Amino acid sequence: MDAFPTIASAAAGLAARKISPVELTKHLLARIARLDGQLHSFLMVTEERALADAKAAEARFMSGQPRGRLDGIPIAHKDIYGTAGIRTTAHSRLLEHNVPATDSTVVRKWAEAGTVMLGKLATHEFAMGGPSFDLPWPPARNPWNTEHFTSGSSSGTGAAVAAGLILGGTGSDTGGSIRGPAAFCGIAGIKPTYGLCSRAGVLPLTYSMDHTGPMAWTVEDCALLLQAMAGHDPTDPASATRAAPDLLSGLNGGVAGLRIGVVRQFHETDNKVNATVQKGIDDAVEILRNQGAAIREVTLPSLQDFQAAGSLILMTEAYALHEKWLKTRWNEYGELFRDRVAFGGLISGADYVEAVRRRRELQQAVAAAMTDVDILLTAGAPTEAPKIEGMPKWSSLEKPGFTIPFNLTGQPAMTICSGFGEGGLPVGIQMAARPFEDALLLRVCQAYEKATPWRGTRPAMAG
Amino acid sequence: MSQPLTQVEFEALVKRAGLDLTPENIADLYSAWPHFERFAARLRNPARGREAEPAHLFRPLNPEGV
Repeated sequence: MDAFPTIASAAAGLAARKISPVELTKHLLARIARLDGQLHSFLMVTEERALADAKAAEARFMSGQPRGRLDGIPIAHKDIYGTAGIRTTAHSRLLEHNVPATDSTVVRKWAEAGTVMLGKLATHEFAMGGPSFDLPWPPARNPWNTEHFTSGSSSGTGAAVAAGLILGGTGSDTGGSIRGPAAFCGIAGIKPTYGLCSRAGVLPLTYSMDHTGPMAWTVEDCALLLQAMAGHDPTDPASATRAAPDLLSGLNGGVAGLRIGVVRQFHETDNKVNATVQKGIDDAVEILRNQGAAIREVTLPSLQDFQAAGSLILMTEAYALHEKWLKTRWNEYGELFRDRVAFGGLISGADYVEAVRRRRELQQAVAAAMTDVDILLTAGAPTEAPKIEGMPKWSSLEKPGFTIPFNLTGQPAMTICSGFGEGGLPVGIQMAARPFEDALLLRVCQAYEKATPWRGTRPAMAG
Repeated sequence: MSQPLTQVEFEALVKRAGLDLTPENIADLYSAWPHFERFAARLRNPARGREAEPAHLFRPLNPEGV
């Protein structure tokens, strides 16, 4: 068996009966046992459940009734996704013994697609903060260099996918928590359009900025996973009342005739990226141009404006969710989460309303800019992953990130690997499309990924 | 948030929020508070008309809740 199957290659092997779901699952369980002591990407390995899922999938294949391309595919869930009868902790002491009675909608949908659940994955506490060393479990570490940060908050998913411990997994993204780990861990991660995927049963960080989405090694794998999680869910008030789009049939349609808007001001002025990230962006522009895309420059409001509105909304909504526990169980939280969210209790109501009014203006500005372009292109993160120890506590407040604009606008955004820099650590570019044009976004990212060699390299420790 | 808060004023804000923090906690948070003052100042737009509403959509619900 290929040591590093993708979902697409494993699905082909399963369909051709060249591998079995049980064999594939045991292969990955052995990798987890061998490698995760260095990575800490799993909070819990659900070996019995995984083998039961795999045997059920195998029976479907044997009877000629597989459920589709995800049948028998081993995955894992970020530990904010509720799993019936299985501990769901948010990586927090406050929920150390929390066992939901029901699956979150996405967990249920992936299970119905036939996936094999390997376990629950590390996150930053309640999907924010991190890397924290004062929680019941250690933080996940970057498989490209375990002294380095994964980014977060979907830290375990990023590390486990990159190291080949899972073929894909769930993430969540309120300010960049899918796309940050995708950049630092050198994988693919998409924050879908707000409302495309259900949040029901997922522990919330905010009400208006949380998104659920998939993370995997390739764009195609993300498309396969997203196809199985998209669609209306009446139990999520933000769920869009529209049918799930076809994310797969046009995936290899290329970029000829599309218009790519490069937001140079974001990564050259507002938060200047390092040389490796800049080269990744410049190379992507040339690759897409050579494939027939028209390249334009787009100017948007300053990243600092997005950071200002996004930070105030995020902190205020997170505080509202955690107010009771912050007042009564302060010391049970990790320092990074509680100290950041505490600011939400100090922000005035008027400031919150101004932030939400500014959000509308920012949405309108980006929408207007996209009348002339189909895709926006900028950085996924400004540098390679920093060392995990000794990160400044307030660094996230100092420089604006590249990801939060699209949490505010709700449009789909994806980060993919765009090369390797200092110490062999990966870097990533980010692309975004108009709301509900997730299929187009995946198509452009696929065109770029297929033209680059980055999917041929895995972390040395994972070999 | 038109004027930077003094630490005493900041402590009052923490107390009003009902957070029971140590002096060290408060001093630490106060050190980062200017970031939020900067964010709030950036959101104020004198050119924004009174009628410019926030990105909250309010839709009356029928008895079925939809």
